[in-house]
Amino acid sequence: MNRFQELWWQQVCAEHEILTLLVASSSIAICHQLHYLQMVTEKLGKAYYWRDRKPPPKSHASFVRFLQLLVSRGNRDCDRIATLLGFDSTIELRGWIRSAAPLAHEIERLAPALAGNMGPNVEYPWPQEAPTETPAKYLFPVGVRLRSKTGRQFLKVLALAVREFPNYA
Amino acid sequence: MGTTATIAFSPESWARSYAKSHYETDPGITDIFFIPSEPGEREVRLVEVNDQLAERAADPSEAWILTIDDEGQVPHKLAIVDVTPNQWIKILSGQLSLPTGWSLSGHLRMAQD
Repeated sequence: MNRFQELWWQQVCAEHEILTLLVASSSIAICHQLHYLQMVTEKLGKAYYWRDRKPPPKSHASFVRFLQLLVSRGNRDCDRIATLLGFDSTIELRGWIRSAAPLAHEIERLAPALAGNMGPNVEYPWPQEAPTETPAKYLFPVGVRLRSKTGRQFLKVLALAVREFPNYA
Repeated sequence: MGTTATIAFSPESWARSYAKSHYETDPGITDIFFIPSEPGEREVRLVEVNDQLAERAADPSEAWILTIDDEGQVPHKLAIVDVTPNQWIKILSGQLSLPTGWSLSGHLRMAQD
């Protein structure tokens, strides 16, 4: 882990800590949990990208790309990373990435910059010109999916990916 | 001497390998195109069309570029531009551009098999 990655990772850890508190709370609006989830996944991907000591693209879509880059490393490295993330093998990790990708993309699209003026996002009422919905009261379908087996595993792997970052960055 | 030989590098061959892996791990990817780099350059360039990405108003001309196997026998850079199907159509018609130095000349669709 280089010094740029360390700074990004520290921020990821701080935001993941809040995410953990939000996930454990049933009384706080789901938009906050999704907001932090979106930020943690985005920043973890970008922290990894700093591996080359260069700033990442401005694009938000980085978590699936980050996972794909992890399994692009040499076989021995991939197996080690798979173990760090709680999988028995690289094959198992790759299978999980495939099953988690739709959820990851859905979370990425919740960022206001990607949701557009008309769509649900985790920060501002929409549509922008004449709002009819607000994040605090909206029942986000992705929030329901996060409580499913796939969602729970997503959060579990994310927690390991954050914690173990210095060991694979 | 403990020097490590650097193996001959074929960007297209690596592109096929990455494409296979990326098709397999992201069901949102509908097409992957190989973009030839300059002869002798150790860079694999891909445009990945993904129907799960948000439609952005901005030009998607930024590539993700990362060094792969930097301490091994086949060090190279992997450069990927993520686009939506609509953005790819606009790139083909010249309404949107690829990153500086990239050209559609000789681009190849990587089969999804």
